Amino acid sequence: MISCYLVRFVVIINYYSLFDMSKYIAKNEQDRCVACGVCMKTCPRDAVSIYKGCYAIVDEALCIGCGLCEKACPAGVMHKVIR
Amino acid sequence: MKAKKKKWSDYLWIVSATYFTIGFFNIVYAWLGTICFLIPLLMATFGGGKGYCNNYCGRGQLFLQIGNTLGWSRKKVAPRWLSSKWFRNGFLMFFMFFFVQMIWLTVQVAHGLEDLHQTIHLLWTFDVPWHWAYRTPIEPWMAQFAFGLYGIMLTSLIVGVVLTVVYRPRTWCVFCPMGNMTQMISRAKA
Ligand code: SF4
Ligand code: SF4
Ligand code: SF4
Repeated sequence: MISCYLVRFVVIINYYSLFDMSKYIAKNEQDRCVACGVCMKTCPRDAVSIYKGCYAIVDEALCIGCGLCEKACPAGVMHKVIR
Repeated sequence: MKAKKKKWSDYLWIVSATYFTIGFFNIVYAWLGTICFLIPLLMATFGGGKGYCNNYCGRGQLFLQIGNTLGWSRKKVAPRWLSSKWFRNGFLMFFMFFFVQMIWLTVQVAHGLEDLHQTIHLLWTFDVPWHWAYRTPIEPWMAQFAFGLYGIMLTSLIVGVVLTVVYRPRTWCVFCPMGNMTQMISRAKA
């Protein structure tokens, strides 16, 4: 039973490292985003851009789910969620 | 993780700090504040989106300096209603009411119907004496506009700094009238 969980854990870890993907990703509430650009300035991977001055969009391929943007967003509309 | 490389535009908070400092001593320079109203609107109108807010607004950067560099911020997220449509648009109307009132006073002074008020209207409530800043003799209406504009700018700075300390840096930007207007223009064009 325990070994079964262990195997699953190892498989998941390998899955993420294989595709260079993190477990988390940033998601934005586009209808409430004020497009201030704080997240874009904060992101260490340059994964965020402001779509035509309307709202922030996260490039899923670049985001590592570090959550820095969530902590910086003054409106509290950026969220770190499970990928 | 490497630190992000700074661009020249990351130092525009110095311009903003200079603006507030020289305006404090000589009100004529308050006129430069019209730039902060015209550039963002022009940028948004001609397809630049919120490029002003995102890269060039010195006031927004000033809040980041105070909150992040100096660390004067609790970094707690502000109440959610601050980013609601009704509050943002309501605040825009509230702001516009005082802006129009300021223009109206300028017009009246220009026509000699009102004397020049050498005061700064702060936080939409207090008339603070500011006569020491009236050094260069200019047309009374020009001086009136300068006093009015400086009051608006200083009010937003005070509110913004308080919000930065209590909540997160740039919480002001959530409902800043300029930010709201440029986003509206961007949405209409997108
Ligand atoms: S920091 Fe928040 S409100 Fe500002 S652009 Fe990013 S998600 Fe939108
Ligand atoms: S979670 Fe991290 S990597 Fe992803 S968008 Fe936010 S700051 Fe960038
Ligand atoms: S929202 Fe207002 S204060 Fe914030 S960056 Fe834009 S213009 Fe500047």
